[in-house]
Amino acid sequence: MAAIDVIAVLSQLLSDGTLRDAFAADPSGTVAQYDLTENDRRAIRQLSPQDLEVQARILLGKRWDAVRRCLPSTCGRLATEGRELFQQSARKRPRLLADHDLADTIAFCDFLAVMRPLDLDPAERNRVKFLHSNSWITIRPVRSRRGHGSCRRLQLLIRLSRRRWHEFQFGV
Amino acid sequence: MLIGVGYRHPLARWIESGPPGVDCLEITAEHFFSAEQDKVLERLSRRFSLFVHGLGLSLGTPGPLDQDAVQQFARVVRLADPMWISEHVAFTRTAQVDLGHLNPVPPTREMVDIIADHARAVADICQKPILLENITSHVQLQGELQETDFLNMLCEKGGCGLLLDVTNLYINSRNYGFDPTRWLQQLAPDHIVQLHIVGYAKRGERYFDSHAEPIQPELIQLAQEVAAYAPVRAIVLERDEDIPQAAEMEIEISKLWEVDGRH
Repeated sequence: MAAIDVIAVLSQLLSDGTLRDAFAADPSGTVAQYDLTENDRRAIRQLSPQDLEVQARILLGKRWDAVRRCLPSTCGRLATEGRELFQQSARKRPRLLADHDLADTIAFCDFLAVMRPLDLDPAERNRVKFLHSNSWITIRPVRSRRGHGSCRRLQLLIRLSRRRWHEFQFGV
Repeated sequence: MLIGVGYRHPLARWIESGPPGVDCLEITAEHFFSAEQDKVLERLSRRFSLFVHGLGLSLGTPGPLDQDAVQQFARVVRLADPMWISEHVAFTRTAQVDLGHLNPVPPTREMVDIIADHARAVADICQKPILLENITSHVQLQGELQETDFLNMLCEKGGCGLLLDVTNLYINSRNYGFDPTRWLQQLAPDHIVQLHIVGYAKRGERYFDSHAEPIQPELIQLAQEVAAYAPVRAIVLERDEDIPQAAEMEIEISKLWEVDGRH
């Protein structure tokens, strides 16, 4: 087992709810899995599971802020439940280095597609998936809410360069 | 003592109006990584004394610094030409995980060396003095050093100053049950160059750095103690959320005059 430092172990605990649950149930057993120096082992073992959970929720809150900016309509529909739903969806999913806000947002969309499909704005979901892909053009039918009903539209997304893109929606 | 605010987009119009009593601005480097913001930055640097504050260099991560992040940071520094730059006594990522926010480091001699080396490297690349900021955290790692000894050693070894976040000090003192004045008096005063301040939030028995509240009187009192103890050169209001209208911002700024002894 490769040597690991206290920073790496702490980062895993803060980003992975499954690991935090295991640590809360058995701190010594969880820490024993890592090839740590005795001082580092002691430093991790003395951490409070409750404190770890509070810190982890703050970190999830920052991820939620980024997702909210990507899904304003969806998050508006979720209102005050949005943050808790995101915490539920992301608690056991670490944000890997290769990951970024769009990957978090897509994962949340996939979660909402199962848990809260009526609140998920399909145009927003298509948009973030397009931005995360290498596609140059995407056309998708969407139903957008209008007052008490909905209307069918075509959503056209065109990439001009790596950072520039246009979106058009047409009524059908 | 210079008095300033953290530059945030919702405050742009108020800042550009030249509000009374605002001598300086603190720029968050990551907000200006896009070249589309260059003209804004150049305009601000002509009108205000600037400081450049980083969030993502992760000085506490063992191993080499992220050179892309450092170069982006250095580009902003070149454009802003600040009086000094600053970052945190913290880590935000490892080789595998990006936590996206500040987390505590163990107060050990090994960590002093890691952060000091990183701080010197960033200061050398940017050709600016660097300050390091204390953070608040709900997780506290034990180590061989007391926090104040750790910070003193860090400043000595790293050739850097301290950006003392008064709100973070107050929050930690409440959450961990220590006397902030006694803590302050264990710091070498000459290291303290700049202060951060903003109102805290309290939920249940825990205190949080929400960056969303008006400055409470006890924070002004603590800031006054610091200003009497150390040769503080600047204090910056770090309001990030629920940013109020101009009138309330001006009330917040006027509270900072009390720290400086202005009327």
